[in-house]
Amino acid sequence: MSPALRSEIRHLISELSASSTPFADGEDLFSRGVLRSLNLMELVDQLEDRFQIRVGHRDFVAGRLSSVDAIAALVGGRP
Amino acid sequence: MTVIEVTDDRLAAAPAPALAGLEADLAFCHPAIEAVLAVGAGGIAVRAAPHDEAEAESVRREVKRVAELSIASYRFVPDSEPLWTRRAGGDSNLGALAGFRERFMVDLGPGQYALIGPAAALRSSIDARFQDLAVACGAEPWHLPSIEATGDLLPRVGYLASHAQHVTWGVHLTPRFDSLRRFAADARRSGATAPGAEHEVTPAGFILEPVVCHNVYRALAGARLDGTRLITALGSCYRFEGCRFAPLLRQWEFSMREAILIGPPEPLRRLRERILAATLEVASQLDLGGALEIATDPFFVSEAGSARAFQAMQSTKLELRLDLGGGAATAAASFNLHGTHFSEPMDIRGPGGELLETACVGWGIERWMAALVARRGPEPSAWRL
Repeated sequence: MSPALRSEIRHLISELSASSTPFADGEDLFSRGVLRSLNLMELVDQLEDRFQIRVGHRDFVAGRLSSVDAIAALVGGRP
Repeated sequence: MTVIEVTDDRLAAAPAPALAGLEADLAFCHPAIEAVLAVGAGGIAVRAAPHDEAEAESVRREVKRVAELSIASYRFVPDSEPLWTRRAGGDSNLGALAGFRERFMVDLGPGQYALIGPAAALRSSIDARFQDLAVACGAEPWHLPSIEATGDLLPRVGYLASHAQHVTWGVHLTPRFDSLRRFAADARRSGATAPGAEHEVTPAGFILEPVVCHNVYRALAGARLDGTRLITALGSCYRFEGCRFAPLLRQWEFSMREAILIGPPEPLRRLRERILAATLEVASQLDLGGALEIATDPFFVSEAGSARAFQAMQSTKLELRLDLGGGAATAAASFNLHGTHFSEPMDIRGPGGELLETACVGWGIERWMAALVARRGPEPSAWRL
C-alpha cells in the first residue's frame, strides 16, 4: 500500500474527527474515539468521492472502514 | 379528508427494513397527515386534511423528501434473516386487542390510556416477571425520575439531534407575580389551557424521559466502578409518535423496564447474552411466537444515515418482535450494546481509570401485554403467566 494513499486517508480522517486523540494505522478508529458513529456516512461519502469507489454493505460487516489500514486496503483493492 | 398518493422509483428497490422505517418517518412528515395508509414498492398513500391544494402539494413534496432521506438511511442496513424464531402453539389474533381495549382501557388523549382492573394487574404481573429476571441475573433495583435534565448527557451524546421527533419538552410559567396572575386570570375567565404568546414561560430544563437508562448514566457520572454493575428500574417513558399512536403498541406514555449494564466489554457482553437467553425463555414459557432480529433505533430521518449504518455494522441492537397475528408483530424487547457512547461523556471508569462500556435491555410492558392478549384472547382468566 502506498505511503501517499495512507497519508491521504489519515488526512481525511483528521478532517472528519473532532478528537485530537492520536491513532495508529492499525487501530480501530471508532472504539478509539477518533471517529464517532455520526461520522460514518460522511466518511463513506468522502471515500466514494475522492477515490471513485462504491462502498457496499459487506464492507461494513467486514470491518473495512474501521482503521486506516483497512480503509487503505479497501481503496487500494478496488478498481 | 384526502388520500394523497406518491410514487418514487426508489421504493421498488428498497429492502423491507427501509419500507418499515419509512412508515415511521412519514408520521413526522407534515402536520396535515392524519395516517400513513400504505408504504410499499408501488408507492405511498397517506390520509391528510390539507386546508387547500397548496397545502396538499406541500404534503406531496414533504413525503417525497422524507422518502428519499429515509430510504437512503437504510443503505447499509441488510434485510437479514432472524437470529432466533419461535412458533407459538396456536394462532395469535390481532382482533383480540380491540376487545381488550373496549373492556379494559379508557382513552385519555392522544397515546394516553387508563388500564382498568385486570389490565392493570396484567401490567404489574408482566413487569414483575422481568424484574425477577433481572434480579436473578444480579440486578439491583432502582427508582428513577420520569424527567431528564437537558444540560449534560443529552447534548454530549447528540440525542436531541438523533431523536428530536420523539421528544416532549417541559415548560413552566416564569415565577413572576404579575405574569402568574395574568395567566391565572386568563384560565379563570377564558378557560386558557396552556400559556400563550402573551404569557411568560421558562423552559423547564428537562424532557419527559424517553428511555430509562439515561438517568442511570447521569447518576453514575464520574464514578469509578469495580467490576460489572447491573441495575434495573421500571420507568414511565414518553415518546411523541406523530400520527401513529396506538393503544398498547405505540403510546405517548408507556411502561418500560430496563436492565442497565456497566462494565468491561466482555463480561458486559456475556451478561447481555444471559439476559437475552432468559427473555427468549419467557417468550417460550408464555407460548408467544416471535423472532429476534438485528435492528436500528428510530433515528430522526435527516440525521439517521450514519447512526443507522453504524448500528447495523456493529449489530449493536437486537430486537425481539412478538407475533400479534395476521403477519403483524411488535418489538417487545431490545438488547443494546453502546460501547463507550454513554460512559465517555459521563466519565464512568473502572478501578484502573479505563473507560467502561454500557449496555441495556428494555422490555416494553404494554407490548408484552398486547402479544399475550393477541395470543390468548381478551378474557382475563386466560392471561395467567
